[in-house]
Amino acid sequence: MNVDIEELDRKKQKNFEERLEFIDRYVEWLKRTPNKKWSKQQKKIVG
Amino acid sequence: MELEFGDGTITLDKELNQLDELALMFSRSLVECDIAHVFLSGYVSILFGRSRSSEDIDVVTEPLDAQGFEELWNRLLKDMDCIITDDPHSAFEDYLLKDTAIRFAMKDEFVPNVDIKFATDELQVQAIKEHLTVVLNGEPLMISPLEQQVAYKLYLGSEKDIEDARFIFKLFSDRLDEDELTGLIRVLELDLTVSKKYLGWET
Repeated sequence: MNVDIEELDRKKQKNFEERLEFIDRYVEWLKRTPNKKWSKQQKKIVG
Repeated sequence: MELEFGDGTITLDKELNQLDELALMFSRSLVECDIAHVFLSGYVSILFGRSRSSEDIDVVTEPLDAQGFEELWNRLLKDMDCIITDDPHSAFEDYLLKDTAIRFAMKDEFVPNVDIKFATDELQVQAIKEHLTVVLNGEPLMISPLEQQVAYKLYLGSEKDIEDARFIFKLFSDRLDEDELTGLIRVLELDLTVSKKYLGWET
């Protein structure tokens, strides 16, 4: 199997940058969402 | 998100998750034993809504003597077990005094757990001294200052840590002391340009 490590590294970096952008969008959503609503959704993930 | 900011306090009412419940339970014991402490690291992000879970909650306390630790141990064991050792003398001598954390979980459980250690460096001592109090559903929860939270997460440096740092930075962007944050980034010998890029800090 030939794996292009440089290509994998680029994908890894891009994925990280996309996650940071997601956090920005999530924070904006949190700021405009009532505590009752976001914390109920958070509880589904955290338990 | 509804947050009320006071002098060193943030009031938050939310539907509690299992980490919040565990943190509050642990906090009650620390408060009852009059032990200065802070909750810090990943749980602080989760407390304020980060959409991820964790297997543990990190707490740093003021250094205790043997008697003070025994009092805390006895209080904690009413509801929890230490999952590292059953022996309080070993927990104190072999772990905490050697800057090694011990962990407590609810009885018959292993995760989530609370990871507790004594403050041993200047950053931890300062975090306790300058703590913020989150009034969570009416109960106090002491956390490290947000600027320190952001800077230390950048220092830890994993993708998860950088994401936590960005989350706190973006959520409290209009409340953070930028000079304090810049100073902490420099103290931790982090590259300021890279740090700002990670935080999405536009100046």
